[in-house]
Amino acid sequence: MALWIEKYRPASFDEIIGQRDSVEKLKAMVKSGDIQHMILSGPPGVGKTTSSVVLAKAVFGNVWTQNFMELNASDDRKLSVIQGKVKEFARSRPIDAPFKIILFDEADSLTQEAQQALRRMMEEYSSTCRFVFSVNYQSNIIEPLQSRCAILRFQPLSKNDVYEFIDRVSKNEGLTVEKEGKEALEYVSKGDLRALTNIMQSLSNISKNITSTAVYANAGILDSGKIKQGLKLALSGDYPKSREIFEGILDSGVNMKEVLSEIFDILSSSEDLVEKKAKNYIIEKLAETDYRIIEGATPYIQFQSFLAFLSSLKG
Amino acid sequence: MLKEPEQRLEDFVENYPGKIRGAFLSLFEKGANKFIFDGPSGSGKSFLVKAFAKANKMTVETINLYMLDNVEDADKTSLIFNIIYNSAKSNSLFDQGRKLIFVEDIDKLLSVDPGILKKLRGLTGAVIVFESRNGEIFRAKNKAYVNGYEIIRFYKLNERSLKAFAYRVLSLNKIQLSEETINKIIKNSRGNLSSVLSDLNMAATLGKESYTPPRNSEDSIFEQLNSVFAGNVEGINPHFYSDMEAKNFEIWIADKAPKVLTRENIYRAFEMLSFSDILLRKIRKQNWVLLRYVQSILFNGITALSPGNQVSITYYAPNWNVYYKMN
Repeated sequence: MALWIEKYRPASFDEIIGQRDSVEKLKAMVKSGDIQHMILSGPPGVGKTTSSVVLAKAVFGNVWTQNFMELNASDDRKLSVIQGKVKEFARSRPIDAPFKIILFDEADSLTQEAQQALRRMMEEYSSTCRFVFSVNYQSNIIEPLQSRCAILRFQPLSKNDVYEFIDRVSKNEGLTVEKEGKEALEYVSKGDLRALTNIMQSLSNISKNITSTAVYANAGILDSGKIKQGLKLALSGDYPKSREIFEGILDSGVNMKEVLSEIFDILSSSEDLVEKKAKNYIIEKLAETDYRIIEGATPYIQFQSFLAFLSSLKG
Repeated sequence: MLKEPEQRLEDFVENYPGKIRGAFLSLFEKGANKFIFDGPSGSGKSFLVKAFAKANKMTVETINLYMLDNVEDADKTSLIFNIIYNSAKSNSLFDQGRKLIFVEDIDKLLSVDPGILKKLRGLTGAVIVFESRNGEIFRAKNKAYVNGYEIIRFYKLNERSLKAFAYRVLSLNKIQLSEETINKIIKNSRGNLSSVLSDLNMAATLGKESYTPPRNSEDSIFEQLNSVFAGNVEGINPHFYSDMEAKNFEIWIADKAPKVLTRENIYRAFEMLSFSDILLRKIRKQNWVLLRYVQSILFNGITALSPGNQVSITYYAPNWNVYYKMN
């Protein structure tokens, strides 16, 4: 069985969802046959790697695998290894093409030192090679590299973009996804299409009908209904009961970090739970809780103090 | 790819034509042969090196010290010294001219062993230029070592010189772009010539007038600030692409909030800012989860405090050094 993330990886520019601006630029580059060094920046799962593969296919045609190399974060990021690989790849002449393309996936994890060394390599091999860096945070790339590159910014995907993709997959696979199921998928994947595809594939093994409960249960994400209930209780001033609920959740082996992150998502996306002013205040407190835990405080105590704060809000 | 102007000395771009170039050339004529080029990236350091070598028929050898990183620390001192020393001494059979050695960059050398600079001082023959970008050489502890090296300072390029450069590149390639696009590219570049070139290339490839988004997403900051102070953040993209971006945003808010908000809300706003600042400090240590809180506090939190009507703020820059004072 094929992995869906490979099956539904866009093969052409037109299949890439969202990112109109960046795709237009890439298309223009292909048309002129003139590729620059590039930095593709944006959150995960919005099409950075895919775009570069599509670009390589469009430029090189059948010989794209010979002229395209991807260096992933999982590969050794030692300078000597990078140096060796780049040298080996860039030294030989491109096949049926004016140049080759090297993609540094997740380049934010390159050390500063490695980037400094890359700057020289980029110059040295600029006649045979184009460098593409895909990053989550642009500021992790040093200025001399940034200025040598065109910068394409990939936007987080909108809800409608994600729905469009869900429709595409479900139509192809004969799945039925109701509106609530779609919302759940969008929520769980947070706009990351790679995560979304994986969830859909694993769900399709169980049933052709994807419901919101199935999504939450399967995604390894805790039951947000339960957390919401706990929050509501705390906000209504019932500290003991809400503590009971959260204790249950934590006892089932859920990480405190996940719970906090879930609470953040619930608070920031829901309109009905608390009024706006209080919401910001609560999020600030939540951030403080998270911060203290990162600082090394006991998660259990910090979380209870947060719950106590919530229940104190009710007069 | 756009054709770049040839690397001739008289094409060197600087804010006051002839100043940096003149200083360098006259020092060279007086017999100096060891230089440190200090300045931000994209200010023309390597261009001047190449153009100078070309004009004087020298061969340039570039040494990137970061490439040597896979060697144990103990050996590095002698390794770096030997590499520079040997390439200064060796001369290929074919080029009889003098050699110019360009070392990227001196900060690395200083971090390994500044004593190398002292050892190299007696070297004659080749011209050696070190590149420096972080101002490390001006630290008191390094003063003794850089003694004997001529320091040439480079500066961020101003809009006028960048514009002249852009027009020269365009006319060289017989391409036309609207004044508006060019201005935007120059503004986005923040004084970095190499950025201008990259963006011109992009614009030329696109082949038509198109939207040129800021190179740094933080450059759309005024739009975001206005929305925050006007109490409506619905239409803007609240995604910070980096922690520095968030930091910048924070500083702008800190600077302008007192002009927009009322008394007790100013206090609330600063409480929020102070907290988000603490979070940011943590983010730098790889706790990226915290960034979303900062985002939420800066956008939604501050927005909720605003009086709600359309506000107009004049955006002269905050007094950065007050905010960035290092401890």
